[in-house]
Amino acid sequence: MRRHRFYPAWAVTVLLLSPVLTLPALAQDFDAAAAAVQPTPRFSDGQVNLQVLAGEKGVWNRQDYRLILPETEEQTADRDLRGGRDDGPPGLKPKFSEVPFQPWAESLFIYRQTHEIEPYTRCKPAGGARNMATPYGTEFVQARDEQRIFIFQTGGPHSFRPIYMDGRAHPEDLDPSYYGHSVGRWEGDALVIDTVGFNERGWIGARGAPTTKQLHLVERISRPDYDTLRYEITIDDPGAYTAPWTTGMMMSWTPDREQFEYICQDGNLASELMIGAGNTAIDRGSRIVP
Amino acid sequence: MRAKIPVLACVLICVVAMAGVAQQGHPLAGIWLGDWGATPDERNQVVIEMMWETTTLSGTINPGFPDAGTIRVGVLDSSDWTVHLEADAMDEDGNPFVIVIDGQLEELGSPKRTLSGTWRHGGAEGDFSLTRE
Repeated sequence: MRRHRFYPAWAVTVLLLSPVLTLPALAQDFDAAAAAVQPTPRFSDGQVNLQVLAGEKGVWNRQDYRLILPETEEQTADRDLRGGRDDGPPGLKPKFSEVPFQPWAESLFIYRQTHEIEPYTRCKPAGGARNMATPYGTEFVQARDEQRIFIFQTGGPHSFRPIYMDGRAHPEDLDPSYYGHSVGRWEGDALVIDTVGFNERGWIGARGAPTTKQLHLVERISRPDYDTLRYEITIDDPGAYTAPWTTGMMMSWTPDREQFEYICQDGNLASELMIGAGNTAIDRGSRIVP
Repeated sequence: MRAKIPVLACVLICVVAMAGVAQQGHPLAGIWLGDWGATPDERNQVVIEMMWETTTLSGTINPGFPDAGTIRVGVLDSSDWTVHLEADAMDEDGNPFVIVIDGQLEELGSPKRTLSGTWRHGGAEGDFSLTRE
């Protein structure tokens, strides 16, 4: 037979008062957190400043770089294996079943989860979200007088892409390229980048959402506060999807870090897409295609 | 077909040079090189160029030759990565014939993915093996 337990009066009193006793401390933490959120930096004309401020150091780093949230047990296990757990704010990323894949694109996406040969990790450029989600940090340079914005990436191919802000249209006869051709504009506090002209040699996201030469990307980049970048991307590719779809990721300001010389080809052991013939890194007769 | 080999070799060099590096879009899009034949000893070199636009697969078998075949049916079943192609062609005497190809796509993640299976060409039947370049 279970016996009733009786607690001493002092213990009951402490238990009941504990929320009251801890409230001031919690309030102090809350105030400190609120004070730590610094406002969005701006230029003198009010335009949002995405770049590092003079006299400071820092780069932007991705949080969870996934564009599609896992749904199945297998997908979730893969995410956990790779340590990606930050889904971002509600509504930022679609679930797997919400992505309007064409059948071949869905099957290829699933295939790539377990048979990954990602061009980016073989030192190839990658557009869209993969360009932003580079390891070791991303940096913006707003060349306002020149009406261009440059996005520099530290990892991967250690490259950059220009965003033309002078109101020009995309050229009619584009040579397809890894990054495509980007024109940008400000919509309020959001930088909106429109890109077309992709070749089919890269992935726009780390987990391999397929795209074709018909890809049209619209990226919206905003900086709601000093330490936060919200990156949204609409993928319009009738060659791979039955409708446009939108996803994104959050990025964090990493202070006191700077870009450094990163040479992807040095010591890269994943050679499959880096060699023009023979598919082996030790074939000295092969043509290197970095 | 043997007389075509030097010419075909030149065509292949050109198309491979244009093909460049790994293609990551639709798994069938691009230039495919290989051969088909009724027996292991009787092989015929072949090049197939395939394009993907929205929901349509198109392409040409042996582009640039009088007997080039135009792909009019192209189906990829991505549940098992099987491929069915039908192409219209004409022989040297101007008689039309149909090429029917049924194959299995493999090594999807590789820039040198492969496609192999059965090849029916007029009255002939054999196997084929192609690699994407």
